[in-house]
Amino acid sequence: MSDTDEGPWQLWGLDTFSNDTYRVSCHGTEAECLAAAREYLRELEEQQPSELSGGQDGIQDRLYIVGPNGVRYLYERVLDA
Amino acid sequence: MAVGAAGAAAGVLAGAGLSWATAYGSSLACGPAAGVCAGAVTVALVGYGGYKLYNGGWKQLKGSFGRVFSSQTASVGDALTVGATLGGVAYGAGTSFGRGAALQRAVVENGARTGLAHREAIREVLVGSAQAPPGTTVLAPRGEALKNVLVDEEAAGGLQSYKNLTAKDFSSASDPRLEQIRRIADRDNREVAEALRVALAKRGIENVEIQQRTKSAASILGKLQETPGQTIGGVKDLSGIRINIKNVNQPGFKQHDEIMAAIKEVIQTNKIKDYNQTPNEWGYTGRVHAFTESQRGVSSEIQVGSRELSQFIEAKFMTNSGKLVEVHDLTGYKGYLYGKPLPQDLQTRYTQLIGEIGRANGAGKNAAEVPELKAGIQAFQRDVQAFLNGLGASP
Repeated sequence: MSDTDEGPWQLWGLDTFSNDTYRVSCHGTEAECLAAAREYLRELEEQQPSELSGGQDGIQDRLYIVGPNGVRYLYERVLDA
Repeated sequence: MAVGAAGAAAGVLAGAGLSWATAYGSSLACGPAAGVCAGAVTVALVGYGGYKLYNGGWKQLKGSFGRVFSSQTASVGDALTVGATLGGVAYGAGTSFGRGAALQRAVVENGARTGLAHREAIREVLVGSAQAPPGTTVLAPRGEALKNVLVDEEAAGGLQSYKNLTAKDFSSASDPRLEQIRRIADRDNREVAEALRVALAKRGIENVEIQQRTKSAASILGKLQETPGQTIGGVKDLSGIRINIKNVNQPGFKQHDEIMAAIKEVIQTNKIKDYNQTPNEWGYTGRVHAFTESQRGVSSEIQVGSRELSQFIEAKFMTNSGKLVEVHDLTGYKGYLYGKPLPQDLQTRYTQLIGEIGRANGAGKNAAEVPELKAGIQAFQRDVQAFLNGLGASP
């Protein structure tokens, strides 16, 4: 998985509580970006455990995959399966 | 070569970490000229760890640390990296080992919490290093820079030492100080939330759910980067707590007021934004936001509102390509992420409905109890879905 300063696929975080966005990492491909999202969501689960934050239906940060040509979607834990 | 962290990690350390430890121990015995005295192994390993750390390599190192300090599979390379880095930090942390001791304590605490064998080994090495003679420096020039890598959080009084740091002070979200800031804030977050639970229970307030989060390290850095000159001390919601009223059943925002009274028993608020008393310019009402700062210097925001309001604001929709988006994400006022915002009329309806839900709550009703509002919400959500469907396979 490559993580560069620039790249067409970007992983963004959204602090749901404050509505603040932040860039997590950049990647060459969507697959790499999804892998980074999976890893970061694991980190988030440690930092903002679902049992306290309400998880992805509560105030745990959301993750967005942002790609070329306006592609933008919410990363879902279900994609981990 | 991949090895299991819990079982074979002892072997990893024996094969790699302990060879580092042996060299490291030897070097300590050698005194100020340790690096040279202990030979190429110490110089190479300590130098490698130091090089990576000093050159913004913490992010790269993090993976190795994560694997060695968890039950994940670790490799010999991971163990070497971790061992060498800790050696580098311990050496480079200052001419006295006072600063190094702060990191050592963190590692020791971390090790003690999980009790893995390899952590114990590292702990022994680190505890042993505290015996090194003051003045020992191997990486002298860059070691100076590491003096401030981690401030002893207790001695420094929580976040006080970090309050004036800005984005320029951090090379990446993996900077260990950001994690320390997050950890200190998290302690506050848990303490305040627990105290709130007790205060609410004492008042017999059960019709609520409490959600809490500490701003993530990456989010803290993002917030600093968003506004030039923004300081850690200026971030007003390192700790965030949301109290959702599950069922609105009293008029005049009485439930909000009772919860606020409980909050004021727990914290000394330094600012309150009461959108029930004073709706914002587009009619936002139904929530109260209370702010405070603890003795540790941790800023907290506590939001009180109805659960249905939060659920409406953050409602999710499915796109044609099977991907999820949040309506909140499509409203176009946050910039970068929002490449395809909702048409303006839908955005206007969105904010109007937020205000109407707040006003219904103020009248002591849930949205579902107000037929026109319920129909308005359903129509809005139907139209948002139609808009997304009209985008084709993207986003």
